[in-house]
Amino acid sequence: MDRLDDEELLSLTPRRPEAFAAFYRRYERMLLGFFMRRTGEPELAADLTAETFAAALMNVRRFDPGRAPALAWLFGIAQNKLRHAREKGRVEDRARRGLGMPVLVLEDEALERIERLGGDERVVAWLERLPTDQAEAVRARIIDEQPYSLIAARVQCSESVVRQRVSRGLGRLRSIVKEDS
Amino acid sequence: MSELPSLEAALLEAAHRRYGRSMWRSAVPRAARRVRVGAVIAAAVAVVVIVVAVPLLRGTGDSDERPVARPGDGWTTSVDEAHGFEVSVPPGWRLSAESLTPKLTDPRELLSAATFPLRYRDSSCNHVPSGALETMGREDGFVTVLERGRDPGSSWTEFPPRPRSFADGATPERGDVAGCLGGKPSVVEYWIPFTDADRHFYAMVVVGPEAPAKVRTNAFEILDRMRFDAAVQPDWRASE
Repeated sequence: MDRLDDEELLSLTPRRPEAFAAFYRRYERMLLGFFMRRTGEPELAADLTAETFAAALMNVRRFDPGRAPALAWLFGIAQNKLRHAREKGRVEDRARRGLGMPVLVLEDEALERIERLGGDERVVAWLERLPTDQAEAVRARIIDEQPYSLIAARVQCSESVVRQRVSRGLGRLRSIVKEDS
Repeated sequence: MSELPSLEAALLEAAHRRYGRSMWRSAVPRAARRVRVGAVIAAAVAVVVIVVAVPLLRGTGDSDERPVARPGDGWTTSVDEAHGFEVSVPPGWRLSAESLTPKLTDPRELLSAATFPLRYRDSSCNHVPSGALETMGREDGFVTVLERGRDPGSSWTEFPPRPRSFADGATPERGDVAGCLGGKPSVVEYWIPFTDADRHFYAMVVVGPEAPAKVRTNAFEILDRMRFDAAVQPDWRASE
């Protein structure tokens, strides 16, 4: 399963439901970190992550690889869930209820792990000063600890290009940190 | 290892509940299904007209009692003149557009067909299409036919004449596919050497552990409906 690309995992899900679990494992931390950085609240980040993946699972048959890569599709759902939460002041749970999923209950240890995924606010601010492709590469490799192969597949370029972006991004970050201090 | 194993487990359970065994239920609304069936029947009639108008492949036996394309049954027939064969697949099956074993030099893959999309993927096994089979579902079916090269000195005793019905007497065996898939969901494999049109073939059928009977039936019927042209012989030598 790990060798299948995102689009294959999603298209396989109706025939092999465990394929969605592989997709979930691949992007769980990324989504948790994404929501943590934007909400500052680990419980909220977990709820939004759960609702995003539930919505993706519910609509997996509608995913069209010709329109957007799977990760872009997933983050599109994530953005919508975040926007709704901000507008309504709460996280909707329509997809989770529709799938009959239980309420998410988190232990303190899990909440601490999610909080760490958000990263240091200063680091977030520094990353935003990098060119987009370098910031994305550094965030994916250094913060999310993703393998180069996965990053390369997602951004559709070679591993060596990703390595270059990470290297250049880290170099620029060193300069930015030096300037600020 | 995920950060939220309870969420992962809940999603997996929800996925099984939602998609479980829904594969063979049609997702097409009734009205659209009627139109689709009508179009398929019309296409099948057109195929039969073309098949009758074109001379049949030679050399497939004096008394040919094997199935031919029947009007209205929805099967699609493809003719590969370069490699001297004709193959028909039922609705729900599709032929691979590329070789799934491009590194295999002998035997050589003639065709592959399955109930799921087929794509070549590199794998640890070059001699079986294990890379393509990674996306095989528990209810899916797969067929491939490979041809041996020339070996004028061989008696080909291990390649009996083509059976009247490939399903009759076919016994599953623990072959290479399960091993090459890393022992993941167990599949049912059939490996059938045969001779037809003075050519020598292997047929491999793989069905998922929960495949409906119709999938197995269709897989063997694909083989039953194949035709081979004796005038097109392999242009490579068989390996030792």
